[in-house]
Amino acid sequence: MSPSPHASGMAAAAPRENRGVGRLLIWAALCFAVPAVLPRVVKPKKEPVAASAQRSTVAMEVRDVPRTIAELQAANPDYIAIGNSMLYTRLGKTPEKMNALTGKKFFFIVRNGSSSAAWYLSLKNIVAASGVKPKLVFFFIRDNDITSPFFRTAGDYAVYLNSLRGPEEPVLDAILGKAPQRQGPAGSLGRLLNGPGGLYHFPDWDEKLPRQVIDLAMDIGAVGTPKTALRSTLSSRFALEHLRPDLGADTPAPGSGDGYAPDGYSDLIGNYQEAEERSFLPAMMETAKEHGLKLLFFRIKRRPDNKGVVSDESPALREYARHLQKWIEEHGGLFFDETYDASIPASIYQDGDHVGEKHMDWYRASFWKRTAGLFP
Amino acid sequence: MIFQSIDYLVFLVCVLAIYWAMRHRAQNVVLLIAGYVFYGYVHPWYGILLGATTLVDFVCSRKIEDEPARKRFWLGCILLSNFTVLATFKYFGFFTENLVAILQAMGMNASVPLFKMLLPAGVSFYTFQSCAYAVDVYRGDTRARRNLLDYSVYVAFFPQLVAGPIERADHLLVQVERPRRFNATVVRDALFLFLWGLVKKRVIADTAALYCNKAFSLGDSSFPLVWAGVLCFCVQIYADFSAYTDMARASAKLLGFDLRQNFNHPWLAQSPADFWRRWHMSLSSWFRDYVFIPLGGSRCSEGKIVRNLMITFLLSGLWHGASWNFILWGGWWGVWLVIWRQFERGAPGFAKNKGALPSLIRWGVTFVLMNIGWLMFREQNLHELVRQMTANPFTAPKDDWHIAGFFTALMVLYSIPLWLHAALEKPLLSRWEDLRDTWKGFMLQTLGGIVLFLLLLLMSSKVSSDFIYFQF
Repeated sequence: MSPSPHASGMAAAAPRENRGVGRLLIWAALCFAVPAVLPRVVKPKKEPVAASAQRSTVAMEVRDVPRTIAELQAANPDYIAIGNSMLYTRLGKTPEKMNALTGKKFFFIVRNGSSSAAWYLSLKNIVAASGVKPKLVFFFIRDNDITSPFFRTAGDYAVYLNSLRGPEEPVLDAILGKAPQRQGPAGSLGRLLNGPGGLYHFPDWDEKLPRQVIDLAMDIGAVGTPKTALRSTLSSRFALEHLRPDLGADTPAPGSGDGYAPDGYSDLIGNYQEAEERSFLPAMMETAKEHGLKLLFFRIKRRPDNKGVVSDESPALREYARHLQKWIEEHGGLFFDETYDASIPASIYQDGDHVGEKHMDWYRASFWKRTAGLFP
Repeated sequence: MIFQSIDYLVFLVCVLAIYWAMRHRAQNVVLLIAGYVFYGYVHPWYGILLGATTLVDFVCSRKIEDEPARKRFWLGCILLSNFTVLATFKYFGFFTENLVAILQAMGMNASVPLFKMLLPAGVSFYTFQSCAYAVDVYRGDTRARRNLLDYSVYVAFFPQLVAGPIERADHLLVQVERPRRFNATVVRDALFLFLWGLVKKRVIADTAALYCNKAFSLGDSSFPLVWAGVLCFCVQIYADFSAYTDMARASAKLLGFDLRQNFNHPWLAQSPADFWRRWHMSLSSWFRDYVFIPLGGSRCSEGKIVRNLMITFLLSGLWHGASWNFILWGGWWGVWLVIWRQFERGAPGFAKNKGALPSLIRWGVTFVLMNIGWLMFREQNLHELVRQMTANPFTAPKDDWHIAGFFTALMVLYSIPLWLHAALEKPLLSRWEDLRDTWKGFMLQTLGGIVLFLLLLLMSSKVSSDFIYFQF
């Protein structure tokens, strides 16, 4: 039967094609139903948390929590610093120089690109869990990252976060579970398909197969090198100091999804109350209180212009910092903002907001001079 | 809107539901609206540019046919308007930056205000498609269309609007003009093809991109890591671009259209010319038909053939992006096409020998040339490019060899589906027409669909990136 040019496409379907429609429906039902059922029926063998934490889809840095706790207990430091490249391009990757400068004992928990979610887990699952009682735990923060809970929690960062997780993380899951959700039919369909409890959501299978392929590739491609050694090599080879300056600068590009204002939170700089309520900050203060820890939040000065002024510091951000300080101090913490410190010149910055290595000795001395009063 | 998003899924289902309930003329209206919604989804002003291009080309093409005495003038108008759009959005910044650099090198204190604007997605694709139509009308190869709706659908056909395949009027426009029939078997094939495209994009290309980006993020990369990164990029770009084409072709099939093939297993190429017959076929045939042949093609003196090849490939490089590395990449292929041509003339016995060893050698050489080309394509920083090209394998640390070995093995594992596809497609396709309507064919396709969907669910990369060719 040849369809009329004016006939509707569907109406023109011949009887033989009706059989085709039936087969199409059966085909679609099988293709989309079997994968929804199969991973629920066939469960992968459970791995111990520590073992899975050691694996990563890109084999980048992960934290061995028990080992870090053991190192921390052995060090029994006076002060613990937690942060990302803002910390280690200022005070160093390891605390030896700070120890020598101050005559005190420091311990650093540092990771490239880590953010407030990772700092919260480090505080709770490493510092508090270790039983060590430092005189002060301090965090190097930038802009409003301490109240941007979703910042750097996906992709590679999720792997690092998972390596810090304990068996139960109600606060983390509750906060990240409140990630702004897309509205409209696309958002609803997305949640129906692969949201928690969705048709195609398989937490048991999370990263299981990709990890096995990675392990196989490690066995084939790096014969004679144990996987743990290769992971450690990968971690150090792709560390910040090996990256191109433009990539190592750690200045997120606008709209890159790596910025300071994750989806739906772009207006929080001017709305501090909401940011504070949804951030990890209250949980950090609570953890500190429970374990008798004193916290200091040190807000670094972003790269200034040639006159030493931070041009990115908008009036809204200035207001935000004021609120942040008030809140932290009201809750028993300490806050130090070096943004307006004219003694920190542009010349010490190497790339982005990082301080150049040859200026780090100067910075350490300056840091200690300016903040010594806060360190009990 | 990107094919691998939920947004597109919702959009496509809505379009299909409305589309198949309509008659032919109304279907075209639906397609036109869908094309503009799809294109203007992120930046609505893109639609204005698309509409203006369509209108100018439609009117001037009619003039070419209506006023034969002035047809050269009207063709000039079309080419000028299209290439002005391209030059403004794509090349203006590149040319001014280079002009300033030249003037500064000459000691002049030049300062041209930087004119940076967002490159509208797909502008290189639809302007080339529109130009092809105008040239075809000018040559008398096709007639100027009198129906603005049909022509607008041809330019704004959403499955291939943003990254091709670049279509011709005698293939796509005639389908727009003809009524389409719903065919459930074709729909099944289309869904299967879409799934295969999704797997290529989300499982293979996005995973390869992670490792490629890692390798290219190093400021002190060594020989093994550079080339392991290039291999990752080789897998990424093929999986990524062919995935887009598969999903475009699948979306078109769902609407009752057939789009051209854009890839024919380029990794199997046995010479540079063979590579260009297999890679981005719609673009290479465009350059062949509208640049190389008008320049004289290969029916002229050897010197002119060399010139024609070099011009064609340098322009092809420039088409990809306003950056010197793309021009270098085009030049690289142009030079090798010229060299291979001489080789074929000098040693025809070897060049055309179908024996296993000669074939293997030709394949190996072409594969290496392709990967050196990909390094030029990927690395936009020319200083880095020189450093990477001259990296010494003997000074590379042992650890870097281990990492490179791991990256390479991973890419080999992830590209297994692509090799399987290359090996199985020909024997399977030749029998598919007979098999498709049988239960055996049905079961085979069902099993394949389940496997693909499971792969998609369980092996997708956690990080999804845009299609590489969107930037062109």
